[in-house]
Amino acid sequence: MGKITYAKKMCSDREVLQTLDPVIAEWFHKNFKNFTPPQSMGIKLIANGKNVLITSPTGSGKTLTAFLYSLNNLVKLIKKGFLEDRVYVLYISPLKALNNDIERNLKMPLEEIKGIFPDISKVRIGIRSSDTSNNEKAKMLRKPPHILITTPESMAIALNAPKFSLTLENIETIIIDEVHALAENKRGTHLSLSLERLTRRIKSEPQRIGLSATVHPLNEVASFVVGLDGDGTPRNCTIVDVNYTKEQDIEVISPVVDFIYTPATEVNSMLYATLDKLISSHKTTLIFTNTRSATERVVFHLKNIFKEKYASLIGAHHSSLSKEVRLEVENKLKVGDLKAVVTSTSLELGIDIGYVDLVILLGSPKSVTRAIQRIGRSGHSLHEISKGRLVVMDRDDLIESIVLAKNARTRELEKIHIPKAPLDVLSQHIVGMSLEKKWNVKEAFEVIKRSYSYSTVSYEDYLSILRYLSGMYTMLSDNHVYGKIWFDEKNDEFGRRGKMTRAIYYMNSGTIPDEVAMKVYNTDTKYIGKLEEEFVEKLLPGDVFVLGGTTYKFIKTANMRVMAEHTPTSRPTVPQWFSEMLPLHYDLAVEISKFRESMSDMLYKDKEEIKKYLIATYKINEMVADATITYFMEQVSYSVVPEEDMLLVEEVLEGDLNHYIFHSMVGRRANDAISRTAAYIITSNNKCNVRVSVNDNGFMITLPIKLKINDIKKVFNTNIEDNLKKALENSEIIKRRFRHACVRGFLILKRYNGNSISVHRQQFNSEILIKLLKKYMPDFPILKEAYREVMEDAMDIDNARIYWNKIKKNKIKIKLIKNLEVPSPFGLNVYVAGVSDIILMNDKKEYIQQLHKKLISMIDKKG
Amino acid sequence: MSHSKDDEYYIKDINLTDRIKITDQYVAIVDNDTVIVADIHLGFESVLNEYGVSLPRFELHEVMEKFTKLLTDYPIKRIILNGDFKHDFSKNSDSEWNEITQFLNRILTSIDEIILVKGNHDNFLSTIAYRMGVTVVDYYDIGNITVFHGDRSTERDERIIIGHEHPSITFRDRIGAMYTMPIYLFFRSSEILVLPAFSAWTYGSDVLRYPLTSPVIRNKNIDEAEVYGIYENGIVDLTTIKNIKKLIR
Repeated sequence: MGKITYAKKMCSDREVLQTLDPVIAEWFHKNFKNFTPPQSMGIKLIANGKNVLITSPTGSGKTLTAFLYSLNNLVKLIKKGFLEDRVYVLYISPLKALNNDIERNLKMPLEEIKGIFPDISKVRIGIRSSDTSNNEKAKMLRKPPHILITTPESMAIALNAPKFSLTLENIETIIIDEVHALAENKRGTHLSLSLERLTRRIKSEPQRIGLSATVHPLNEVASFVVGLDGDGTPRNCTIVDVNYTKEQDIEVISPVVDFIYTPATEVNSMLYATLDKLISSHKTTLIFTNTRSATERVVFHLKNIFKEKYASLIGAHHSSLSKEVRLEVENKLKVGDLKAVVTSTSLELGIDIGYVDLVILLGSPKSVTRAIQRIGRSGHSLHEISKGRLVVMDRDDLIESIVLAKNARTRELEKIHIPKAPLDVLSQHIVGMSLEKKWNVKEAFEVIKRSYSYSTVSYEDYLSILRYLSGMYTMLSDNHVYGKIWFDEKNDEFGRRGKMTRAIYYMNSGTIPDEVAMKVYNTDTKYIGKLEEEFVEKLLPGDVFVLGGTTYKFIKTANMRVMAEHTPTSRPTVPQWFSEMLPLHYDLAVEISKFRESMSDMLYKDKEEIKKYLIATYKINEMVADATITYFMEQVSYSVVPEEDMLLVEEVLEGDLNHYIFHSMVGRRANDAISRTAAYIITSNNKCNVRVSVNDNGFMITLPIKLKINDIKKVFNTNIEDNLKKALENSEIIKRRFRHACVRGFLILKRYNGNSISVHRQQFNSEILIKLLKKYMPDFPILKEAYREVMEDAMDIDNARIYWNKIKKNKIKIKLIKNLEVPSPFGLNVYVAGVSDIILMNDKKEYIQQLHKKLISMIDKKG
Repeated sequence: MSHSKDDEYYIKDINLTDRIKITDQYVAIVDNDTVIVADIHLGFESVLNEYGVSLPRFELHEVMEKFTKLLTDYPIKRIILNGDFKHDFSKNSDSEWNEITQFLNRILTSIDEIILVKGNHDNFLSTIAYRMGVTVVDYYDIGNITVFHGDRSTERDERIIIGHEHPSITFRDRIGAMYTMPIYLFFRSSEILVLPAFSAWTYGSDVLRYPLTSPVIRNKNIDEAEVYGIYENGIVDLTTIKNIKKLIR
């Protein structure tokens, strides 16, 4: 990555001002004292035409850094009378609610510059999102905005608008905001291809400016922003990293010393007392929970408990709330009308929220990077310290938070995961490309390979998409399958087909899947929450499921409503194959594993000595240290403390079912992969069905027979990848992700011919479709993508493989503790977690024959 | 009725009465030479296609494969397609013409007689069938057994073979594993048989969860119905709905 470098030089204000037109310089001088660090480092680089990735804390003037030199250019053009009717600057943000940022970062400066240079009013700003009316779009075509503000989805559509896209062909600067939130999902993949498609059409490559919160590794994120040169190496990019400038004050707070013996109601009241104390002693507090339902719960309780005190001063902000509600909360927050706002992920991004002096993280945010991003939302100015408090919810959370806080102080960031070559998004873009012109197959491939996300895509996979889209995948030669593109494989060309395709592309592009949720009501007709329709379809009366952190028994569905009974003490009986819980990151899990080992080495020492060490090393208070030591002491007296080179397996016998708890500390995504693979192998070796539960700290396998140490060792003496694929074959997760991939890859059109196809219809029977595809066309690209997405994105096959092979090579040794009556303290959380999947035997024969025998014997008994 | 208690588990077919045999191939065979097939739903893919779902076309291939096996396994002279032969309600699309013509042509090379019993999806079927020289009827009698799709009511109340329901059953074992299998339902007292769907695209709907819809059996006590399931190892006697309910409770 020789062309990616780090900016080292902090320019003096004078140096920066010298690069600017007197108008802009004067305006800046009037309104600001000095340039902020990202401005001092970034503006001159931008002025020199470099691609840059700027990563800096909120409130450091990042967005203005990106825009300033573009404004400068526009001023110069106006002065010379050269300002043309075309787009000069393209700004892309994942947020649709862009107005706030734009108001602050663009319209205000323009308004202020007007006082110095009235002609600046010639600069037009246009917003193009899914809310933009056709009328406004038509206006934009007649008088194109000089600065176009848009989202990744709307940009992809603009790119295919025959006339409007012409106004984009001379863009000079592309600004991509919130890169950290885009790079790790398919919205980012989609954008990266749109950028390459746009770049191809621009005569001289436009400058790219990426803006990101704290993220790691910067090299890779920079490559994602700038894409690749023809030679396969990243285009030039200078990274401006000024995250170090903002200090963070992070502490772990445990509301109680003992989570086990303190009654739940008391834990709860202590928790809210803790929150009250923190909220009362600060001006404005931002509270992050890890789920939307937790957000609702916390707001509800806070309002209830502190009615007189500040019930009206508390707001909720999460993605399920309406745009109006969210905007109202944002505005109240900005003007200081709220004492506290509770949110899940929606306020992580750079929405302007005004003054916040404390961030509370309720429960570990599961990654150091996310913790730093969230805590970074507090502290008014760049020089003010950000203050974050991690309030822990249980004992595993406690250990996790201690380790996380320490690593946050030393900024040990986890590695970001950027999806590799998703074939569904590629299919969508190829349809888009076919509308642009007639392509040579290799020429188009060159464009695609320029996107960092597709640098590894194989030519074979690419061809299989062309074949799929052109309708070549069909059983019969004389069939009229509507192809979406025209593809001449002999002459290596593809292009547009049919009049419908353009409309199809407009109506169906995008990467965010639809879900249909059904409302769930308690037996006393109280609304509880929502469940996905496809989940409800699997429920049988009497099944116990999880919703909003507690359990309910399914009674029936009627009129699109789910009726359920609150049964807080029952354990869930049905697999919940999706979860809105944030997964523990692998890198942090490894750190926790190290911490466990260091504690294990110390436990023989005097308690006061351990305490002293913990307080000094982890900067925790006495209460937290006590709780930590107690937890480890209990674990070691009952079982053993798992160490880095040991896989602790605990056998818990319960009636006619046996549980095996695997303490594999590799993060949720890797655990997910390992648990299903292990379960699959156990299923085939022992001819019985197996239940899998998984959480951040390990997994549990439940089955009707007993396993010996050699049975367990045998499990890992296999290839994880092959077996995981087989394990996924009948799983709910593959069906679900396959359906999403079908929609993204245009196999299923959400909107077509004036119809809007419901999720229900989208489902028809993906299980049968998968089975038939496997039989007739095993290489079908959309199915291949579903497997890739599940294994690489939803799960973490790479780290799972490393761990698996260490066990295989005996570098990690299995330790089996037999005959436990109840799980060890460390195993408790996975024991009570819901079932994540059921791994079925390869054939149903055994089960059906048993069933048959039982039924026949019922007749025989009756005589 | 014959069911096997020995260790030779694979069971190809079961004789329900002295005239009716049910098989693991989703069809009933009457008097050894007449096969009754319900709910093929040919053209399902092209209907979905019109809704923007571009499935690869497997269906005709699957159906032909199943028929070829059927014709080798049994000495069949006559085929009765018991309703919903094609999926589309409203019109005959090009690809349906095509698929249906291909299907009938191929079947007619090895079979003397095809009878199409109309189902609720078959409104426009006559047009196609007429060109092929195949008759379409509302019901068909084989001796005292009536073959009827089951979407409407009938005056008869015994010895009927219907389709329309797409019956299946879902079990869950103690681990939580789900098994869905297509089933035959047989009301012995009135000798009414409900066939599973032949379509490649459905497992059917669970009779334990959803009420029966056909007027022919809607008012019958489903608990009394005998159940025969199809799975990878043939056909299996699951006794009655009443027993199954008792067992899974």
